[in-house]
Amino acid sequence: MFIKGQLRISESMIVLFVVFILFLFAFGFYIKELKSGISDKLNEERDFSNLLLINSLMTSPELGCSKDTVVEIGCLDMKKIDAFIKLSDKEFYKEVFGESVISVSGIYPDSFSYDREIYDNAMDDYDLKIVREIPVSLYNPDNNGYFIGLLKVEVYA
Amino acid sequence: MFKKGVSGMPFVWIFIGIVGAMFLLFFIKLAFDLRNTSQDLNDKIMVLKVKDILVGASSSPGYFTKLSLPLVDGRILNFSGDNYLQIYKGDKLLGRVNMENNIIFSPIIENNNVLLWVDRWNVPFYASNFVFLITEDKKYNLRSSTITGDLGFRELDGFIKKLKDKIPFEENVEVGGRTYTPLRSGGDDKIIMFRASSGDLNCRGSSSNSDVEVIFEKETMDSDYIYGYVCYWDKERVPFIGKQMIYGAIFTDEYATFKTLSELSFERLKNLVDLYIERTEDNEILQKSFEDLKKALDKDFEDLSDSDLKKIYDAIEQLNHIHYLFVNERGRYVY
Repeated sequence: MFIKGQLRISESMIVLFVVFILFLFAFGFYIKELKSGISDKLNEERDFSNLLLINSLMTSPELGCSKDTVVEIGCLDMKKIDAFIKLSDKEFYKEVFGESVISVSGIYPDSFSYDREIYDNAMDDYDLKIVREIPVSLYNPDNNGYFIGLLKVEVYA
Repeated sequence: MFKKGVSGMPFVWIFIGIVGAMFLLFFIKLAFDLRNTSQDLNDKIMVLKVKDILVGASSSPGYFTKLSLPLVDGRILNFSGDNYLQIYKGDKLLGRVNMENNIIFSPIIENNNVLLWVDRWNVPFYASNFVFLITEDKKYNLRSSTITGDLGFRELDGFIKKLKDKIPFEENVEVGGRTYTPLRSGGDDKIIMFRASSGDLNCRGSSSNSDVEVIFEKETMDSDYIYGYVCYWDKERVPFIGKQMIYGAIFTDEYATFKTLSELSFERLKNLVDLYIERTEDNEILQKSFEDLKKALDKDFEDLSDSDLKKIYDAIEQLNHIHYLFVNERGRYVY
């Protein structure tokens, strides 16, 4: 059986322990919210980078349409795409496109069948994959024809 | 004197005080750690945001604007020799990010208000967009060399004025006139000295009273594909092709950064030539011109001699001519 003094120490310890636990809970909640905020900021940043990658793809000298060195916005040159796929050494572009998969497919007219995987450097073990699809104009220099396609960019992080 | 039951009271308060203080210290430390982590994260996000601004702008050639960068409290921005965007506070590196194949010619940026200009590098096809970034307070002085080489003083001055007219930073760039002390000697303005030569493209080095000397082949001065070398004070010469690379030399203070960016541009050019060789497989004549350019470029950047630059220039001119004929004949463009 406890004597009076011992009992008070135990009471105080219990109170302190409960306060500590409450503080920990509050702090844990705060950390969780903070992490969620950080994660949102990073995802927003990644999403924006993904958009920039798409924009730079469409205006790049490697894939974009150009006439007399003037680039046509939102247009990919089908012959350049095929030439890029055939390139034996794509080491230079690993730094540009990073860990991503870039593909394009024809969607209009219905008779237009076109599917190309432009670049494939997928990550096996990833935390996040951002996929974005954007309609593009596809230009065939052989017959001077334009088609509508869908550019798909998957970025891994 | 306390009774037996009461004597425990002061001890309880001492105990509560000690444990309470420990709790308090623990949470204060956590709060400080959190503040530092949050600051680190904000710095990293700031670096990414600056990169996004520059990369976003780089896809719009001809674009000229005044920008306010999201740099705060005395942050300093620079581009390292390995093409990383770095932000410092004092000597402390807050964050760095790889600029990949984005070419940003810039001095050290020490305040938020900057001027940005984007120009296209065509050799002869579109090969890259160059971004030029300076702060509003920066001044650049373009001068003819006192030893004008193989070009008369007036002609050289005319060339420099034409070069200057294309630069939209009107308030920041001026042509000759007054006497300045170079930056490297504690002056306020960066001095860029120009010299034309026929065949002898060597820098004057110590005899030149400038921060940067641009020596170019006289025969190519009216061409878009003008070539020559850029010589930073007391450093090895760096080859260039095209006026955009001269602008790069004007606006980049660091030799290592300019060299890396020039090398990266040449590397991309080589890759593009490979791509165009595949692209023109149905046109032997054009393909042959691209192959000739590939051969001319097939040398280490650092080893490019005067004659190598001439070969590259000739191959570019020839390709441009063949492409012109092709466009006239078939009405279609390859680039």
